[in-house]
Amino acid sequence: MRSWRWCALERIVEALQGAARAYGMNAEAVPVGRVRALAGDITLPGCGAEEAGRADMLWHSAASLRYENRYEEEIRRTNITGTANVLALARRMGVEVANVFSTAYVWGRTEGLLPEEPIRGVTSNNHYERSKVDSEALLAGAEGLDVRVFRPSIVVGHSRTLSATAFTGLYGFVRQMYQFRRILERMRPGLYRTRPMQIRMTPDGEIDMIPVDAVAAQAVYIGLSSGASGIYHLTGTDKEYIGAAVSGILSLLGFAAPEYIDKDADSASLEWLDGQLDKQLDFYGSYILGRRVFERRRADQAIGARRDLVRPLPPIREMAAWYLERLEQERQNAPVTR
Amino acid sequence: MRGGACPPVFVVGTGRCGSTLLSRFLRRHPAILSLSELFVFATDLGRRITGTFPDQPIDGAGLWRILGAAHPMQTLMLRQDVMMEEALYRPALGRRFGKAEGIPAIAATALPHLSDDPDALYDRIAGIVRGFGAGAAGELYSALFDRLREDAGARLWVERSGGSLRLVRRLRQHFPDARFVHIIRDGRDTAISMSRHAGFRMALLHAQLTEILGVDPYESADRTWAGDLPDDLECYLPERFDAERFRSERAALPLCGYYWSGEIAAGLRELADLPPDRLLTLQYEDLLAAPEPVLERFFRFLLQGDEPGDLSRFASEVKPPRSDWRSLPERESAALDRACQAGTEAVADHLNREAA
Repeated sequence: MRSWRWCALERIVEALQGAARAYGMNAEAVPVGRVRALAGDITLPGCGAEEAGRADMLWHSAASLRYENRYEEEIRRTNITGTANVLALARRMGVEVANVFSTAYVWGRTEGLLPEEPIRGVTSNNHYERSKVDSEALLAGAEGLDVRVFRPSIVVGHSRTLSATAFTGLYGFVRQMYQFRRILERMRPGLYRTRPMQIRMTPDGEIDMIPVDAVAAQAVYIGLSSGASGIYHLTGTDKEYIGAAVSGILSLLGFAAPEYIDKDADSASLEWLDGQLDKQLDFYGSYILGRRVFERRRADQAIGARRDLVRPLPPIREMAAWYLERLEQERQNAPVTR
Repeated sequence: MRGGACPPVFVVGTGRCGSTLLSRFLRRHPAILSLSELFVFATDLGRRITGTFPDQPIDGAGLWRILGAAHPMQTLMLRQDVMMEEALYRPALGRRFGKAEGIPAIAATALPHLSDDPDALYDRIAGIVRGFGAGAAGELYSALFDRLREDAGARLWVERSGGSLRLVRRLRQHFPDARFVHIIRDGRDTAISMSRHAGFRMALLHAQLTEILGVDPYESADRTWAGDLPDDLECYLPERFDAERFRSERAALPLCGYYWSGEIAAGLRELADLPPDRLLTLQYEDLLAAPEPVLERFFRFLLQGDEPGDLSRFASEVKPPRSDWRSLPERESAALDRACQAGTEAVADHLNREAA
């Protein structure tokens, strides 16, 4: 059996070439000869790296995006201990500049205009958000490193090809609604088409999404700028509303038009079926409950005249349809019910 | 035995609808070979329907892989000591099958229902089935059941499995001459009973696990989407099944209500075009209220109008069940009522059409 250390280079090349293909680029043109893989595990002291050498700059984007209670330890180990280990390794390697990805949702339940500033006294929605708050605290206290913290909002597929290589955020929401529909279909066929689901959300609140190529382009540009430092919101530039986004996705899945109920409604007052969906969508509360706008003044100043780094957000329904087709293909061999 | 052979009958229902009681009577009727819970275990509680009713021809060895093999979900239930009480084969000293290898589908209930020595009957049936040539699955099943019926000196075989309403389309396809008895119970009481029943709870958990994972967790090790499982489902993955929690929990009543509604409405549609000589609908509540006339209708249908004999001893065994939705708190009762509403309306439509 090949060890994971041996596979590290293969895995990173495969990831780069896979992303190139997904983003409509020539995978063969990826300069794999310039890639050097150093196998490790960020949850281990020193990241478990056998050899380190020297480096000028750190890019840290590894994270656990899980949120269920049972994953609490894994989330904290990856996102907090992992960050501490990565910083320690960076110092050992002589790194002076650290570019680290966090999330705009460190703001938790805070509403309003949210600045590109350190977090203080927020109420998080889940273990994931909490771990990112703690991770940012570690970054803020990192001595001897010039740290740039990038806070993307909901990262979606490529602005032109729509392709994605990770399936959280928007895709997680689509997938969970799809799973919910299929479970309902096994229980009571056709119900989802006729019964409007009641969903807690803020329909006129903004939902913030940014294409993956925009995140990459902006982060790289800022990360390589000599004057960069501090926190940057890598968030969307196209205004989208929660109600329209959710309705579009539900309509694509064939659901009856949903009924929106107040975000502060007691979930115990929901009918059982709506309560089940409410529980399933708990993680997405950060996205669909409340009115929040992520200020991106610092990010805009940093990219300056490079407006080519801002990419248009594809229609949400089209991105959801792209993923739905993939889900349908994956489930072709699911067992029949009758 | 008076009279000639009669076409076979399937007793179908949503499950938890009183059909097990009918099997107890069928077993004791001399003109009938009663096959109890055969297809529920062959399909591994509804999990492998296409495998049990393949569209392609199979041979005796293939049929024996369906009937003579132990299937994973029921084996897990056996090992975790959460098997439902309908499974009559109990591992014990001197018994062929135990928790380690699992109990073959045909031996779980069907054979102990027929014989005090299910292991010997298993061997005899294995010999019969392995001698079969290739044919349609329905033909091979029929050949086996007819052989057992002849050996028992019975006029017909009757198969009854809990929850077999979902198999009606397959049964009609594979047994084109079969007749059907559909027993219907108030959806709210059925749902309460399902919520407590280990088999139904396993089937409901399996459905949810499958749809979230995108694969049958008993057939595939792919756990790509296991992160999407809520904590209260993840603990029922086969590899980490929490038996203690399973024993202490009940399925949500509205979930069972929606399931009942879906099953009964689909089942009624699939039975709708059968003529009266091929379909008898019974209501469980009628059986409770007046057992003897209902049993008389039932057995006369099975025997194509012939005198069924003295049914008073069976009638005296009909007792009121434990589940009664009227005893639920108002809020729970209302939620259950809503969940059952579509099914209740479908039943009312069906009964009105029959009455007309």
